[in-house]
Amino acid sequence: MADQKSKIIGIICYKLPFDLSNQIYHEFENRYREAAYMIEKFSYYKRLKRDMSAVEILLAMSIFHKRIITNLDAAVKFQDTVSRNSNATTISIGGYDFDQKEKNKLLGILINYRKLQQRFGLYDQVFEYYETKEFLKQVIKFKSSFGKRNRSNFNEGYTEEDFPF
Amino acid sequence: MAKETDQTSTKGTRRKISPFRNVKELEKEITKFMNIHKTSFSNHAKRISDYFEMCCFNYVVRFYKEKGYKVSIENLQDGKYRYKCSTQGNHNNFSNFKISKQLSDQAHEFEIHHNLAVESSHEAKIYTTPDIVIIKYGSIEIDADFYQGVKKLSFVANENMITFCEVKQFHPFPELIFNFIGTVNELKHPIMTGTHGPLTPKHIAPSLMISGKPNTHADKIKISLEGRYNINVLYDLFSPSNNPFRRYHLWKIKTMK
Repeated sequence: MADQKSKIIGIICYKLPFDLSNQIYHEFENRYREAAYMIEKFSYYKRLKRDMSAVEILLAMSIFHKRIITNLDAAVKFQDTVSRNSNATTISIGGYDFDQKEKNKLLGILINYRKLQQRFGLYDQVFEYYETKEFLKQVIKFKSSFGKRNRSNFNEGYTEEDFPF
Repeated sequence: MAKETDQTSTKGTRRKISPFRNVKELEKEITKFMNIHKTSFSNHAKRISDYFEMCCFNYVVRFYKEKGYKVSIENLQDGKYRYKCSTQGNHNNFSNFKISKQLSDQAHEFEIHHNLAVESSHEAKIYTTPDIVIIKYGSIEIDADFYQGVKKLSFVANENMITFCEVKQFHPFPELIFNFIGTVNELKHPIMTGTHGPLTPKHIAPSLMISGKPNTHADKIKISLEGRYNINVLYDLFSPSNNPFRRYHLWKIKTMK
């Protein structure tokens, strides 16, 4: 498990600046340890015992979503606001120009990310939590949405404003 | 091919794949996604905190737009929107938003700035720099003595500041929330004493904007502080369901009374 754990978080943190990858890595480590403890000790969470690999990947993905994806989405939206209210298509941040080309690159990332989410039914609500126990509850709810009776419980979570385009 | 057919419902729409039954496939997809975009992530990750500030700035602009203000952009630099991402620098070299509203015969004009120094409401010549500031139009001044050198400080006098917002990309915790009261005390003292007069047209009350989701205790603190002072403590800015700046939640945001 240790190898696999370091693998997924390693892939996510690869090439990120040290400060950010350090934060992501530590949040993942702490929450994973907590989640594993709760799944082991409390009967309500024991139903996830056979899904530790999925819990681990979903946890890593939720942290990545919260710390990276939401901010990239915000940059695209701000660029939209600027171009809607002026002739400017470039935002200059220090020495860096966030222009139309960069915006399209980010849009490409966001579209691919949304496709990945949709493919696995991973709507943003799965990633809405404060404490690790809330995350586990979301995972249990999410898992139950794949049951025969509850297939529609956790879908159609998007609203128009979630899309960057 | 058989697998494709299996994932397609009778109505022809693609059915979601369970990450619990297909862990390896999810892992493979994430790896592929990260490998394709690793260079972009690496480039943009350095600016993540700037992007978060932009997100909050965007929300504030949206708030004013929803309240009927006309929004435009001023001070473009070579056709580019130059974003001020630190407290240093002359404001003439950076872009800002202008908001205006016509009420009966009178036009009201304001500016929205990022990282502009504001003079204390207790004492002249001492400043602090909130992340987002709304000021009266054309009211930025220069303090030539501040840096005791050739560098000059651009600031706004306290009476010309309308309101401000602080943004934090954290989970809300008590010390962070209570610290905001110190900034309110320094910049908008009348709010602390309840002597602030009503403002026309409407403006957002001084706000602390935090990206993270609150726990029960943070929620209690929010209720308590908002009950005592005319301020907003706004959490969960990226939530698809609880985001306070969503159109149908905007009424919950307090304005200057």
